[in-house]
Amino acid sequence: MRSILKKISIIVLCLVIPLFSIGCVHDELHELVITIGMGIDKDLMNPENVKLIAQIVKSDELRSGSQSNGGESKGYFNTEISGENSFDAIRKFTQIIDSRLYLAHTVVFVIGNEAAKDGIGKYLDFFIRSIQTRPLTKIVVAEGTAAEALDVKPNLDKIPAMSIDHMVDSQIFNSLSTKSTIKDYINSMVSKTSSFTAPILRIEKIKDEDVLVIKGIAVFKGDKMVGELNGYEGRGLLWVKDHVKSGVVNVDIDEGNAAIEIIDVSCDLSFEIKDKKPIVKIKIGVDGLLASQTCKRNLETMSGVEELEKLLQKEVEKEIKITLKKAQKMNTDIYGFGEEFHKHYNKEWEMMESQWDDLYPALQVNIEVTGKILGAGTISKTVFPEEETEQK
Amino acid sequence: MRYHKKILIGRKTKKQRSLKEDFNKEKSTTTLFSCLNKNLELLKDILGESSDIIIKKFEFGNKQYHGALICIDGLVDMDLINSSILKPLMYDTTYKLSIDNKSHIVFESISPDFLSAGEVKTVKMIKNLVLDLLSGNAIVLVDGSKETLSIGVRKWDKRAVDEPTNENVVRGPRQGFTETLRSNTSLLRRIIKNPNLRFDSFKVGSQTKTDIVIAYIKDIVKPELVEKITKRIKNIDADSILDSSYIEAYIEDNPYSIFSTIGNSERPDTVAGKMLEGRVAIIVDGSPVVLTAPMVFIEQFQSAEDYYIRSYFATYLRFVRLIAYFLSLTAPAIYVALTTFHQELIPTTLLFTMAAGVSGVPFPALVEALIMVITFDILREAGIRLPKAVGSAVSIVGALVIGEAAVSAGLIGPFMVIIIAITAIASFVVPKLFASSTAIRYILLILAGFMGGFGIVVGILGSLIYILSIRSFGVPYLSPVIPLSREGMKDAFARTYLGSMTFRPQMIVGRNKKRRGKNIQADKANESARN
Repeated sequence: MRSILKKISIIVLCLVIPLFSIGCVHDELHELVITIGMGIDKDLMNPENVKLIAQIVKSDELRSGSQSNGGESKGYFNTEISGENSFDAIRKFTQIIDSRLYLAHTVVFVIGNEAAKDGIGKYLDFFIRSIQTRPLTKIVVAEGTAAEALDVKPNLDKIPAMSIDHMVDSQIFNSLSTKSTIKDYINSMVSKTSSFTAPILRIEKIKDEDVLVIKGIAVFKGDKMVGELNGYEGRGLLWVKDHVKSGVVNVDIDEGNAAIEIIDVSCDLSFEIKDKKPIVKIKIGVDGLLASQTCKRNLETMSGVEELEKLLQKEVEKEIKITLKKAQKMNTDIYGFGEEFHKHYNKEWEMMESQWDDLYPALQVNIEVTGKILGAGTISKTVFPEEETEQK
Repeated sequence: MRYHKKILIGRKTKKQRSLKEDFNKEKSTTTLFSCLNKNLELLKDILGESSDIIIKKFEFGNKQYHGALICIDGLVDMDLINSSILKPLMYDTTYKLSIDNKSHIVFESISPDFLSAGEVKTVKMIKNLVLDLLSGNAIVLVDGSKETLSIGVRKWDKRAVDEPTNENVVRGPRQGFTETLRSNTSLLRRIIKNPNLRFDSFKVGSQTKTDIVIAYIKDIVKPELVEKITKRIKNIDADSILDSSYIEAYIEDNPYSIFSTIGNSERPDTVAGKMLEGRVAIIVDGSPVVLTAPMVFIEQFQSAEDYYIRSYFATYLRFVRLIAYFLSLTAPAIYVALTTFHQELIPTTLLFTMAAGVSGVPFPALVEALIMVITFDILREAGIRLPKAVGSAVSIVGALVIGEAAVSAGLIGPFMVIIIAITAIASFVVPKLFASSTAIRYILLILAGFMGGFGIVVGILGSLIYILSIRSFGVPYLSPVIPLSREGMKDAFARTYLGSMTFRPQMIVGRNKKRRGKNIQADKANESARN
């Protein structure tokens, strides 16, 4: 009996002792200040300072069914504060809201244009260290200030930050802009030669209403933004990085054009050093489907398909070349070629690393693209009016 | 009245008094008198004036002999007594009995010739006589003889063999054990028609003298196991055995453990299956639940129906049970850990809904969970114990109060209600582990409330270590998983095709290890040679 009492008392003690040994105060679910988006701006009044914009979720009002009477209710609110550094600013938020910011569910960091040009390192340092922020949180660069961008009410989502998050994700359908995360940023900062890129968030007016759009790619040298890639230039980068998963390639044919849907891309990079000169060979294979056409010729013939394939190759090659030219002009190794040489030619790289800024603009890049048209949708012949087809 | 009794006692001879005292002792060897009246008086003294005791005096053999029949009303078949004991004795002997004054000879000639009852034996000792009488035999005493006849004429009201209430199957036999020991052994005998099926009898309980039978198949079971169980049953020092669970408690390896180490079933097919794997069944008179030992942990996830349905579906069901068991242990703990410590693990949109759900709830998640777990157990207990007519009222009140009112009043978050509902339903999936899972659930819940996911891991590892330390009659509780046995795994998590289960469980079976295949005959030959 005694030993049992002893056993029981040990178990009870094991359960009771932790009760008092919990030091840290934990927030209950409803006490959390869920910060869904974080904006980073340069404080124009005091350029040394950091200005943070926190987009905080009002979960009560997001609850479906509970429509608070009296007009529209937003599911979020933005608040901003300026501090000597990011952590200082984050803690200063407690002066204006109930509790500490909870950053684990932050889905996007919006960096203002001024801050990006200023160098994002000092702003992001805290978020990289913090155990709350996730490495896969997205980074976008705003065309104007982050405060403006986070204030545009989206049409589909209830919260701007989540809308931005979804928009960045959906870029894979046209592969015109990239997706960057905190982890990507860390990787390119660790490498001495690679350049960081991030999608650009713009505010455009559609029907007199402010709408957020993702357009273009911001190019960084170090942690400072130095330029942009616009339009198809963005895809020129993604082809080489093998990030094109889907998209549309438009080729001019006859007096109209044809759209080719990209369904599969293979990208093979090889690196060589010849006569102490680095050479990059890019082999890209594109599989596509004829998705639509504005010209009236029936393209679903052997000759038509061959012509389309040639045009596809030319178009892809052109996109890659334009981007490469621009990147070399800006002297930003957005492709991470330097890292690849580091991997493949470890010994030579020691020499090359210091010279990379001189080597890169003159880097010889051989591009080889093979295009293939695998199908033409659910029809086997164009259905334009017949007499016109006959005239051709 | 008191005075009168005292006088009666005073009148008794010294020998009688000492006889009664002697009878009360454990090992009495007192024999009967040769005088009928003395015997009757002694019996009356032992049995008292109970109203259910019938004593009928009669004369037989040309009225030369005086006899008496004693039996207990309600335990015997009066028709059978009349037709096969009294009638042959009182009428037939008149013609056939040879004239002989020595009653001993009378006895020898009575039993085979005149009694048409089946089970007849002579009894000399009072102790045995009383035990037989109380078990439902009729006792025939004859004047001048120190021996009596004990005749088996048992018949009492008993429940018919019915469908078991707790272990239902969709497909499979629908017989269940009853409270009657004999009908239970016959149910097993009907399934296993093998001369090696043995029933060893015991009487346990100084007051109740409950009949206990251990059943096993001699050429399969480990002889040491039977020895061990026999020894433990013989060592039971209890005054009463009212149900098989008493036996379970007395012979278990670790009676203080939260896990049961002896299996039980109401189904003859399940028990027969377990005996065919080398287990021993313990049948207790008065209990429809038959014990099987040894039992391993995984057995509690197996159902009789697993073997009657297609194997892939049975396997799926076993995994469902495992998942349900895990959920019933950890669901409230995981919810508490997630909401107080690891909010980052909740998907973003779900977090919004959950945060909105608990806004305004006054208690921390741990307190909320404890309240709900206790409330559910209260409701469940009320539902079981109440009369059936009131039971539905309890469930209505419970559903309304807890499901609706508590949430809309803002006392409890809606997610907690969902979690408790999942826990409750899941805990019913493995009813045999209900008791232990309740204990572990509370421990995990408290650990999660203070230490989050770390606490849950500590709790689960602790429980696992504890389970690993348990043995049931020498068999590791987690076998066949730990120690791993490839053959055993065929009937652990998965229930493979019956034809592929060639071997009986290694840890349990004694001899004749194969269920099927060529070696069975060889084994049998060996067996008979050894015997």
